[in-house]
Amino acid sequence: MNKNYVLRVMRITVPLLWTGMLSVSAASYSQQITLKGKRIPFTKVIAAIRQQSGYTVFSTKNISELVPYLTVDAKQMDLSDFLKSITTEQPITYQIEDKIISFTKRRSSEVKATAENIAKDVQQKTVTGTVVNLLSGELMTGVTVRLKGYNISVMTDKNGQFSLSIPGDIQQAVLQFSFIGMKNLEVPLKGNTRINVTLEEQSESIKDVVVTGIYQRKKESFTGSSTTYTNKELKMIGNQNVLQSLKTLDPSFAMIDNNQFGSDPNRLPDLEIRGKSSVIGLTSEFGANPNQPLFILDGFESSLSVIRDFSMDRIESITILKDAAATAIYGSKAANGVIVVETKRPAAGQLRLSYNANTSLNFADLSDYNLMNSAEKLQFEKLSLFYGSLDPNGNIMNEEKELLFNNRMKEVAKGVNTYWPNEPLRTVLSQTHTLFAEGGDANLRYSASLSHGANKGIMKGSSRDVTNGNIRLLYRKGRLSFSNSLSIDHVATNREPVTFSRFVRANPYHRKYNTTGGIDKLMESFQYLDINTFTIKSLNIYNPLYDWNNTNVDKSSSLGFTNNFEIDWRIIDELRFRTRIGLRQLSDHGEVFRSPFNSEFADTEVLRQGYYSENNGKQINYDADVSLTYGKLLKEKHMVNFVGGIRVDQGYNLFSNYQVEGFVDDEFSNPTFGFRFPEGSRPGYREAKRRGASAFLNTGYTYDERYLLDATLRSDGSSVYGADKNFTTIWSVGLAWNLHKEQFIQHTLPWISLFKLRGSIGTPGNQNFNDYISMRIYRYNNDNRNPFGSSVIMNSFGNSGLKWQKTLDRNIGFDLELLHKRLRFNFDYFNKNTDPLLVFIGLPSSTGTSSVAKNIGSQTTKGLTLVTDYAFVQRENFNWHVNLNLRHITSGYHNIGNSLDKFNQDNKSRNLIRYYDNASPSDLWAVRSAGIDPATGREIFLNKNGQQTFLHDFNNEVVVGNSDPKVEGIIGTSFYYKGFSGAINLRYRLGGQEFMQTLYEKVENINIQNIALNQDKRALYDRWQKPGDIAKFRAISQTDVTPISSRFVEDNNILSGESISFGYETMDKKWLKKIGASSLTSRIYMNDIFRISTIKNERGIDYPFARSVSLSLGLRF
Amino acid sequence: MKLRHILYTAIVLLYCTSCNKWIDVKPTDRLSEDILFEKKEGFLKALNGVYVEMASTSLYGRFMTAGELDAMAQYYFITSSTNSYYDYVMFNYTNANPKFGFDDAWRKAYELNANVNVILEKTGASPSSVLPEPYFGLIRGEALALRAMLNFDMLRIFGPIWNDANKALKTIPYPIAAKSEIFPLLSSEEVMVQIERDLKEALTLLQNSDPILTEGVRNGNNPTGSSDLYYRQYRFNYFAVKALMARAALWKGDKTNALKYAKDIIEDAKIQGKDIFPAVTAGDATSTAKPDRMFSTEVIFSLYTIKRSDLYNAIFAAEQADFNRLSVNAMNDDKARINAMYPNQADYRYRIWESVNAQNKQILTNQKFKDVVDGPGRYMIPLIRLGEIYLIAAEASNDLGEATGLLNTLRRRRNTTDISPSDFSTLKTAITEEFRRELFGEGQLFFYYKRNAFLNIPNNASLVGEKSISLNNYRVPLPESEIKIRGGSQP
Repeated sequence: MNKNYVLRVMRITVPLLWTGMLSVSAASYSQQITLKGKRIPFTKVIAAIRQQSGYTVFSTKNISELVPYLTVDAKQMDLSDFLKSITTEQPITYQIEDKIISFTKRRSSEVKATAENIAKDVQQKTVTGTVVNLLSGELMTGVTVRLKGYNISVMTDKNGQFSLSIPGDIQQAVLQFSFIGMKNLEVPLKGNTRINVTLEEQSESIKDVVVTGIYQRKKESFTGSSTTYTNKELKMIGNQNVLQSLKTLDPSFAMIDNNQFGSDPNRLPDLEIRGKSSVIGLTSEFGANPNQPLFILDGFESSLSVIRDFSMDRIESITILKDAAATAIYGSKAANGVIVVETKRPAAGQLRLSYNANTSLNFADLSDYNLMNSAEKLQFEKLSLFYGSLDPNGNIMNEEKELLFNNRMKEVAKGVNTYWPNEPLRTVLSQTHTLFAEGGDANLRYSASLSHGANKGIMKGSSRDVTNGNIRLLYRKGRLSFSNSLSIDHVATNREPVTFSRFVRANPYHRKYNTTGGIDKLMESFQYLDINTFTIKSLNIYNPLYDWNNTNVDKSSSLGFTNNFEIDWRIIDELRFRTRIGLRQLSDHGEVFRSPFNSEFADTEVLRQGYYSENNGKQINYDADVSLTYGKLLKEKHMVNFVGGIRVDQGYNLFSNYQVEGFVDDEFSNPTFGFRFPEGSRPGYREAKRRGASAFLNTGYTYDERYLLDATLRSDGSSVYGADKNFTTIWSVGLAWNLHKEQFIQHTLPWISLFKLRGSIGTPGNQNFNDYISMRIYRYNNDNRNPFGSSVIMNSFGNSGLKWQKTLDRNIGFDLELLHKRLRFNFDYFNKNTDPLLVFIGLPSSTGTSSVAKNIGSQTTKGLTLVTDYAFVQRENFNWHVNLNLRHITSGYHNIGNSLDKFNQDNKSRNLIRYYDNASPSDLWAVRSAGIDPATGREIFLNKNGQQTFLHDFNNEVVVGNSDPKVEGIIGTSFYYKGFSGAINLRYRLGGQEFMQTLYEKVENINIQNIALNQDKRALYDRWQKPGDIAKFRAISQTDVTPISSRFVEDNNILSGESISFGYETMDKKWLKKIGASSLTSRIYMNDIFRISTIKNERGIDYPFARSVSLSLGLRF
Repeated sequence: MKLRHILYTAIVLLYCTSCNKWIDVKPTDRLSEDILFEKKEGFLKALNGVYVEMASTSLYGRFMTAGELDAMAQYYFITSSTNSYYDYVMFNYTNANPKFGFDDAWRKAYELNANVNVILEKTGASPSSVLPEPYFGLIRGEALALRAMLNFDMLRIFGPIWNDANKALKTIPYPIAAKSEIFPLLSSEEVMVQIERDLKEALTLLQNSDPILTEGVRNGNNPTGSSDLYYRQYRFNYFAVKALMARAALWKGDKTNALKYAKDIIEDAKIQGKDIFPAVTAGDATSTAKPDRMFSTEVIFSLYTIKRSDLYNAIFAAEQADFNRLSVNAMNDDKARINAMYPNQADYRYRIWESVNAQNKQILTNQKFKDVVDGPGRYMIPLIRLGEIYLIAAEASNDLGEATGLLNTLRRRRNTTDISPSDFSTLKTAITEEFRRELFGEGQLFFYYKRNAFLNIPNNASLVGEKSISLNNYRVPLPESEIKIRGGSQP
């Protein structure tokens, strides 16, 4: 059961109770009794109380018989004192409730105690009392009652009663009450010998609790490596999505920039926690990204897209589980870390509303583009011999071509210098609104939320609209509670019709519009000589605006329904039983329509122009688990915790699609206007089901809050893996030492407030693989039939002997807080070894297949993360912090031999990624370059022995860089002053290299067809032109293929303005009351507002990156 | 303690069979092997799948028959380097076209070999309730024979010419396990041992189960149910296995056995004195409406493909572009080459040649594979025919008279005159010429030349006459998809 909601209960109910109590005691204080006399009949005493206090008094005949007379001497005595004084030495007791006083017979033990009291009156007094659970109102057994300063303690019996002898002065004595899961309580006796106390459940702040989604622990007694971020912290960084904020807050969490699709709102980011555990680069072979962490939303498995689209204002906290001790409870899915999202739970009370608005203004970041202007472009074309050979004076020899060139020059002279990239871009406002209502009483609480986000992309026509509704009910009766959460999500997306790169590639000397203001489809048709076939070919340059303005559709929508139901039964205080059932259903629909008028169909036969495709998907996932949690403090020093349970899940996936071609018009994007299905295409239909079953057991042991031990065992079964290896066992062990609890630290180094050493080891696994890689699958042959009936052939070979991919994950770290928590450190060193790896290896074709999933080799990832924070100022209304975090990760392959050589061969001439033993997955492999020969303009390579050669040979490839930085992290500062706050977080990246795609594609390697497209300025200025030129790039006239060499690898150091924000929050201002609000929070952000890099490489090829300025506003009523 | 018991029970429960069942998921959009091989029909489907795929263009649907392999046998007049078959004709195996083509054929052959291996794994060694006789014998027997044939054909392409020196050279693997494990490269001799073993087992199995032995080929649908036991000409029947044994024996120079197997077929392929593979009738051979250009009755083993017209259209049709067409002249009506090939124009086999008007000219066209609606063997791609068996017997015989007799029997079937070679050398020449005529479009001639290590073969660049060939050209290097992963180059 979730602590957060307990916390909320406390927040509401505790003040309520307090006010109730205060009013009662205030009332009793105002009641005073004056009565004096010897042997006053009890009935008369009662009458006096009734008269003077106005309270109703109940008594029985028995009482009057027990105490026939009383001797009283009271003058304006408080009612309660008066009642005490008349009952203390009598066999009766009393109770006040709602202005009702009732006298009852005192129980025998109490009488005895009283008698003993009298006897020991002088030397020792005994204190008695009861302990009650605040929430359930039940008497509590096993509560430790300790006399402060003495080694005297007892426990409450099964009736919640205790009795303790107090040596010394009872006026000064203080009792300490403690019980696991409950707040410790200290009560000064002030001479009372009978006290009744109420214990409340521990209401630690979110940061003090580790929520794993299956169980939770006090942070202090947890051995794993994890970090929790509250809503407030997340919203301090950004207001667009939580992933963006996590990236800044936690150095172990990385979001990989997508250079191709930039800030496309419809692309899911690639995420990693602590680097990679699986072979990268083979993602397409797998069903899902094998390095993606596991997402848990309110205890149920979720997906990246749900978390990304989730309204930040509904999130209470996010916990990142990093090492094996923390993640092993998720067994075979946990190797990449776990992200646990807890949403806000309804708090009891009257109906309250809160409203949050987030808006952001986004615009494109084109600072990395370095395009030629029209004059430069023309000059470049001429020098590249696009117009044929040049004479010694640099004039074009071919007259016809010269005329063409001169005509263009005239245009340039007229001032034609078209800037194309701004056409598809816009500065756009995105918004998210969230309305949250909550309320209820101690038994039934409810919340409802509605959020709508309209995310508009910086390319016109691209958008992602997300709408979510959620209703949550919590019902609690005694020891049983039920909760149900129902959500409905709707996502609608639209994509831009033409990629950004086509605009970047358009020539600046072409005009966007023709003389009549219209848009021509064909801007120009070039004739050129194709060297390979020695034929004249024509090259058509189309206007990207023409396609842009045609009817093109690329949209999708999805509707998701999630219902999570949970029963929690506290069998006894220490033991609780929980069962959960989750259901998630998602249906999606996508349509793509390409206008037949688009330039891409210019060379297509008429009957095949235009294109429509539709796809429909459906997912149904079930999750169910049952667990038992047990926690108890034994003999005050031994804290034990057990969690055990079983879990089953099923995922069902259905996907179907079809295509239509042959449109004559684009008036409607309706498949019915199409001509036919494309030849050879058939309707797609995929149905996949995967199931899992697992059992888990986690035990935690803490000795005296100093020595901690955690162990997890999980048995996991999945249909993904081979029939021979259905089940696997995953384990982890964690140890920790709370040094700050040790006497020697407390006495000698009191400025250390927290010092915890942690270490863990375990074997979490990975299941992000294709559904049916373990079995042989056959397909029907439909197009060739014979009299023997149907025929089938093996479609995929499968590997039934496939073993689970597991990662041996080791971690050591410490948490340190010094100088009154002014200086904090959190450090982790980890070493992950995935062995065996699950990879698709190449096979000789005589095996019948070219690749098969196999367990082979291993991959290690080592690294460290550090988070530090120092508070220069730490006062109640003013604080100022500086913070720094960093990450350093290295990884390598082992024992893969030449099994991945197939991919090495395929990658040569495509990229710099190779798979070799002892090399890093992020190593960049290329032949070293000694630069460009000034005499000839040719490139000089270095072979393995360092000798110069003009010959490029892939056998001379060495590691020329590594795309991972040496260190990467955030440096920042934040302050808070009376409701005003600000934070600046800058990302730095030091060390590491990058393959310069732009240099390779748009400075060099420009073939004759591509000369007609716009290029990077450096293609004109930095290339070799004549003997003697010291140039970085090959001769400008070269149009053949340049092999990749170290020339295209450059050091990449970055400083960027990841998040800068300022905010104001207030609670009790008069003007707030006027609008009926109780609190206000507001914040303004700038995200990715600047970026300084040592390289100039185009980013966001098909979709540019965005910069944003945002505003968030929250009102609570 | 009680609690721990509960937890232990929970964990133990997990290993119960119901959980194993729970996570044992079978796909519904695809056919998993477990479901497929639950019934005899599944075995039949899987085996049929192999036959159907064998007819793909990268194997016997073109490459290994009328297309590339016949081009290598120099049937055609090809001088233009832009012709798709030029590099095959010139044995430029390292050029893009042949490199891709052979790789494709190799991959397809071994993909089917893997399919066959799964079937063999699933049939087990003896009949079962799922797979009773005669299905067990038929399916296992045919599968074994198919494995032998696929590997034998790969050996004939990628292996060396068989002789005492070469037979120990490592050449191709012979994968016999269903799992995708890597099998070592074997020598020709070792491969032949495996082929013979498989064929022998196949023969035994089929002897007891093949209905061809009692019912004949039965090329028609079963009127009462499925046609699993019909159309035996389109299945690897008993006689086909024997024929392949004869082919294999002659490949390794074992003339005794080759002759024995061949004569067995010639003499035994009869039911109550009636030929199972009767000679083509004059009526069928000369019919103008529905000619039997294939002599379909004489075909011992063939593939059934409704796409056979694609084969004709792709490489022979007069309408086909010059660079894709296989022609015996410079894409015109010149008959010099075929007239030299067929001294007697009454020969039924000459009838495949017709002059067709297309592309505004008369073009001499090979119509052997032309689609004839409702014609005999309309969907047939012949792989083994009785004519070859006569030629094998003639070649293997040590008796000039016997050999001449066998040859003349075939020639009479083809409506041509007897010959009387005076010595074995003349006989050999006659057999070679007969082979060239008889197996046109069936991919066997190149192997005939290779087996005999001919140094002179017909000339692609002249209409008549011969050219010399280097013996190295008879061996195609192993495809890259095989050796690149295996590491190292061809041994």
